[in-house]
Amino acid sequence: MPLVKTLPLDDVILTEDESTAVYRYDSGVVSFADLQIARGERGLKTGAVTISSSFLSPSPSHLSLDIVVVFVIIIMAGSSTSYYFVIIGTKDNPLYEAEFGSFKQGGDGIAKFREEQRHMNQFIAHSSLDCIEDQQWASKEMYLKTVDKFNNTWVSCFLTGGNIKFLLVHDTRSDEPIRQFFTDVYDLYCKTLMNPFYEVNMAIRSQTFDQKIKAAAKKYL
Amino acid sequence: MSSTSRARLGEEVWKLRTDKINAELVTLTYGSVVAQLCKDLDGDYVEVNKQLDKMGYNIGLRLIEDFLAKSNMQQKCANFRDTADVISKVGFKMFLNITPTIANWSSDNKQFSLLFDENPLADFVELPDDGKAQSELWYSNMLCGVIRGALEMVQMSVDAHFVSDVLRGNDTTEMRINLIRYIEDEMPQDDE
Repeated sequence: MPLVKTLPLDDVILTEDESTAVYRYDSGVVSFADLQIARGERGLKTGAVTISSSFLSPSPSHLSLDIVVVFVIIIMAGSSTSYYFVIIGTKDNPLYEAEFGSFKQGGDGIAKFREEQRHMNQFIAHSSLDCIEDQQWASKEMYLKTVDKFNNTWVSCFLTGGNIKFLLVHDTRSDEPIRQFFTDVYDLYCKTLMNPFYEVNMAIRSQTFDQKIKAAAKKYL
Repeated sequence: MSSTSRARLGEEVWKLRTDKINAELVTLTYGSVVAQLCKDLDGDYVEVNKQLDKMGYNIGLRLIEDFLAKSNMQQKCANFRDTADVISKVGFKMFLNITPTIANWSSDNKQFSLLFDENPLADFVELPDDGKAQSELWYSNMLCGVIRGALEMVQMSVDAHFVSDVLRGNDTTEMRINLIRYIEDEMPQDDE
């Protein structure tokens, strides 16, 4: 008699290629390989795996196990790749922010953050500023890669010579596309700075800038 | 002198007899002049246009001499159409390395437009979105003054103004130049 158990988002983490789900429980961690993931409505993902009880040792206390256990995993919309991008000025003031989702793997480019996650992103970005301060002198590169991690979200940072920070809050790790994205953003930012009517630390309200940032996101992320 | 040989002359002066300067330096310098004027005059863009035109006029008065010296133009332009051709193919070419298109001649051959496909002064520029600049400020207005000043020194009184600008969201950047009259050598009255 197989047991069907639905696990909430926080308990199950997908790996980057979405082939394996990792389930953490009180006395251990178990990975489910060969996960079949079907994309449901509104970015919901469901997957089912069959594992034998021998994999779960010691068995999770809150799951009664038979010989075969079937899990149905529902991964909430929040875990399809979404990005929160913000430019921070020299006085730790935000200059520009945007949210976008991935266009890769059939994504529609719309950020799928849950409502409570959206303002969390701002806190996560803000709290990473201290980490950046610690790390900025350790590297010669402007691209500092991931500087901070909070639960399932990473923060990548690009620090310009003028101490302007580009921060990207994301839920999958991929250094190279993000580096390319940041390089494009740096180019756009330089052009904005060349506008005689723009001054350092002024909020960027230009619609052209906004469109170009989103085009760069579409290209690389 | 034919139109193509003027183009060649412009090219030659630009290549051989012009000291080059970094384009971004020019853009930034001009940009900070305009931005500072806007600040000093408290966003009175009509007045900013006037000041830019005045500055340009003073530049034009001097620049024409440099132009004549470098281009070595011996003969006088036969008519205003020739003048337009020289302004575009030699003048703009040698100072800004652009050749604005001449268009929209009026039937009396006294008015024409210069269409700027590119404008090195306005690279990177976006007008402030205060609701006024988009409809009042002519960002490159100094160019009008330069042409007015330069032509005045060679006995042509003209009116030059912009009628559209890509910075304002128009499709083209167009400057209208209107010949008012040729200035004859005027003798002071009672000069016996």
